[in-house]
Amino acid sequence: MDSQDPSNPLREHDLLMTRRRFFGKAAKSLGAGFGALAMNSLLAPELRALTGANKPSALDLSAAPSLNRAVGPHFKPKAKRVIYLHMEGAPSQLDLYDYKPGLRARFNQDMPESIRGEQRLTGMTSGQARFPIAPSIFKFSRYKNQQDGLWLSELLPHTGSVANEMCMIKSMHTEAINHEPAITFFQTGNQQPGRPSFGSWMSYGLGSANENLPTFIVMITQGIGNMQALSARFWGSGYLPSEHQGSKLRSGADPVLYLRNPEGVSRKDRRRMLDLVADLNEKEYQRSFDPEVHARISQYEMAYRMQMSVPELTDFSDESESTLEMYGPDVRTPGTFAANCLMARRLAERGVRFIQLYMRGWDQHGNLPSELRAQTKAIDQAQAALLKDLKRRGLLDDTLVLSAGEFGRTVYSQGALTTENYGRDHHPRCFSVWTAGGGMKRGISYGETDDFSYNIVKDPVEVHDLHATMLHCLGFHHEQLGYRSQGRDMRLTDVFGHVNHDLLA
Amino acid sequence: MDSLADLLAVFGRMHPLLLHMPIGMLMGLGFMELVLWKRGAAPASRWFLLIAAVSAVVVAGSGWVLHGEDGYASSFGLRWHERLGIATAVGATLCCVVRFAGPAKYYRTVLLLTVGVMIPTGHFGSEITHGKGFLLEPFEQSEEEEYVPFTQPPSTEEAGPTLATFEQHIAPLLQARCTKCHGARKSKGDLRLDSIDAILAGGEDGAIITFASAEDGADPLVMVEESEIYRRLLLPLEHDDHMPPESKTQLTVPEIELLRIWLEANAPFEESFALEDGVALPEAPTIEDDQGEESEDETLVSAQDEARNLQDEVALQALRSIQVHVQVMEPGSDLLWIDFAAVAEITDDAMVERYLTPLSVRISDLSLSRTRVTAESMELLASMPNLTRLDLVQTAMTDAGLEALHGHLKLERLLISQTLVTEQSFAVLKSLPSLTHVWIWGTAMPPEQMASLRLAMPDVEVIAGDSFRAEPLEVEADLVFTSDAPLLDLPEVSVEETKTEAVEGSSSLSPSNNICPVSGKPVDPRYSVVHEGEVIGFCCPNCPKTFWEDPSAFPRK
Repeated sequence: MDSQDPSNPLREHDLLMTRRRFFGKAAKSLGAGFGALAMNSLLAPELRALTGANKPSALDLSAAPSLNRAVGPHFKPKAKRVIYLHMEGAPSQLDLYDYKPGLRARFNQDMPESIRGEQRLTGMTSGQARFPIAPSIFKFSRYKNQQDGLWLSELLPHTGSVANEMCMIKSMHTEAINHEPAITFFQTGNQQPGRPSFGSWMSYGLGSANENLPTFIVMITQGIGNMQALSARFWGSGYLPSEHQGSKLRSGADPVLYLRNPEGVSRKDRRRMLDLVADLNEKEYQRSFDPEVHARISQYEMAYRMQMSVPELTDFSDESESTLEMYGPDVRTPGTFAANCLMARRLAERGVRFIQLYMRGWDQHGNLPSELRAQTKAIDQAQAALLKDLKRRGLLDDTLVLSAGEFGRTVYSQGALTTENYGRDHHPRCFSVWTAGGGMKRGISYGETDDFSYNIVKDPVEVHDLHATMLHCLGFHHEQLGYRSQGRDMRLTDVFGHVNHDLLA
Repeated sequence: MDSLADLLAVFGRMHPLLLHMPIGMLMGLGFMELVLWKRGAAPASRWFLLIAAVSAVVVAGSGWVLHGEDGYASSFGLRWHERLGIATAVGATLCCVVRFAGPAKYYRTVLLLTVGVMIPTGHFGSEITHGKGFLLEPFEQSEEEEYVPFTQPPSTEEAGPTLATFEQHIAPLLQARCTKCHGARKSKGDLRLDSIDAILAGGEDGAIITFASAEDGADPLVMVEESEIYRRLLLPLEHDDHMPPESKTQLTVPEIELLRIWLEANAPFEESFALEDGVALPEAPTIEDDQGEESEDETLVSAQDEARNLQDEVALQALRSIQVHVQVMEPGSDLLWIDFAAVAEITDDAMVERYLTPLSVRISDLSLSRTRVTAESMELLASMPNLTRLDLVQTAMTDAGLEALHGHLKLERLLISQTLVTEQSFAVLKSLPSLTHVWIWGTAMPPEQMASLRLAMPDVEVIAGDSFRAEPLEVEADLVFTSDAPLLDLPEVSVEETKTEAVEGSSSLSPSNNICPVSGKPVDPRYSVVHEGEVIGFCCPNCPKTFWEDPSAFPRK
């Protein structure tokens, strides 16, 4: 590595050290005035860039008040923001999206060995004596799209009305077979924890479009069924600066706690307090060069601005009756998927770049039919309303919506199989996800699975490919959006991923 | 403190003035000592030498300060100017030390060496200010003729609408944007772009047009993305390798587009190449007058650029200071996306006028959704020549306001959902030649007229929120579950046996037992499994799991 390369961490540290020594010496011999002078004139240009002392250029992509200096897109983006509906627990593709009518004549047959192949099983079914095929007990209907129609389960009647906007990918596959690594993989491009999540990458890459709200916001809806742990690192920023981590809005009536000033503290007092704390923090930074100190300063500033922006954001009283009705009755209960979908639209309108909704409770190892009925009832009307609402307001054009679980579910029943009840185990080899808007094709179905929805037979899409393709919509070369950490240039797609041009509008 | 900084900057800028002092003095001393040495005389005044040495150190210092200012790209000449300059200062100081302490012979040797180092220092320095090859330029005039200089471009009307040639379209572009630094006077990075041979020869980093390895006999193909001449244009503006440098006039998007198409056509220098559909030739770039003193010229141009940039920067900073989002449409473009979302509640006509007027030429995508703008702002918005997307959703925009947009040439996307416009604005919509999408949901435009509007504008997608079709095209018939389908992997047991074991439909699924074999509680038929051809009922979903662990452990009654 070239020692003059400004991205070289050693060089960076050298420059900071030089400056520090210079200040120390200058203060002793020439007086403090010369120290400040030195800062303005003698620093190497790259150090000025590092310390932010450079005057921003006319084409600077980031807004001035923030420390967050975005990379900016590499080329003209189609999408300005993302709404990512994560279906945590892995919904059954067989009962929702991947229509396999032929399975109805294979009820309770044994899963053919030739189809199952070498696929590893989870500990939950590996002891099972046989693998009886469980066709979906739900009727499917065909809805109009840009091709010959999209088959959707009877559990998603409202979603059917937006089939013409959806890009249904039936050939997703993943590497992991358990929730934790699979969610981590889908969020960060790696099964091991510790990498930045997609939203953090977008906060780093796109920067803020509204300085009064976080760039990356997360909202969680509790599900009905079996729920897996949902840890905050799924929206963590990994090695990216901490201001890029997702901010979670609480699902209660008060989405951000302690936002109001306490009794007797005016906004002016708050401002003075923050200024003083920022001064002290800046001194600490001068001493330690720890970038986390700057992240902390910017978080305080963000909270101060959110004191003004959040109450307006979370007040649905300006929504029309017909809009609320469209999202369904749940919309009036904070924290429901419907309420979060409406909030997602409001955040999109206000320029938040990455809005992530977690819907928990899709892990139906048993009692799938009854639990899936309840789960889909909670999301169907709301997700359809979200797409309609975005569409009619002109937001779907530049908002990329993604709905995905972390893997699929097996065609064979876990545990007892009847025509009324069955369960399904984890299945990484194929599952269905859908996108809408934001530069992806609309009204299409992509990829095919075999008759058992067990293996992909046409156009597989891996998680890295989906990430690369989404980054493309957002204006980034996925190979170039990088960040140097521990001596290596890191990427969301690591060393993998191909932009799938078949999916692009 | 600022004045101290400014003082220091002035000190730096005095470098080109001060440097003549040590050059003159050291050269003079050198001659004198040579002559005196020959005559066997004692060395000349030591105080003169001291002044020369001190001035050399001062000059090196001012040079270092000057280098700290922006605007000097690191180059071979600059690096060596810097190194040799420091060596000269050190040498002159050494002269002093030896002169005051050592024998005359050593002093004279050190002095002559110092002068020897100083001469190339001065040469490299002069090339920084006057351009490379400045000294020997007069000799090169005749050689110059061997290059085939580009002819001035004829007017674009002579060219066909979809054909372009290197000579008429690419060469003028290079001449306008590149050859000032990559030409006869200066050839930064050892690269010249003023002749075909020079373009093919490339620069110090190698070829600038990359060809794929050729198949036998075939012409090698240009790899557009790998070609430096194209790649560097697309780098982020602040990237060191970005061309043209950040402070210079940038290529416009159509110009870059043209260059790409030329490269994709395999970079023909003679034949013409076809433009892609929908790509227009960029306007001919203005070629700055190259007569007269070049350095003056450059100062003038960069001063103009700077003034324009400064004005824009002030306007951009003003927008950011009120928390309006500003972003370039794409890297290298001057066009802007401006979004008032963060301050929508307080944005009114006066604010829009004040902040957007200075940037009106550069605005391409403007979001005023949820603001308090009214018809009053429309005159300004309509006068933005490059506006392609205008978002007025949820504003009090009226037909009268929209009227101002009549015939706007570039507007592609118009968002007027939830505004006060009515069917009176149909005429305005129809008058927009570039319109591709219009959002009119929640307006007073009567739904029954949507069909006729869509008919009148077949190329425009009209989004009125009425296109969601809730009824399915078809619904699956009632479900029947069988296991009739032929098995894929036949097990070792015979086919007949398999058939008897298979369960026919839901009717035969009633369990054969009434008591759960695991718990001993009554059976709930919902929790049944098939085992060895028999339907076994359980009381709850957990018991089957226990059962499967070892079916033989639960004898059935």
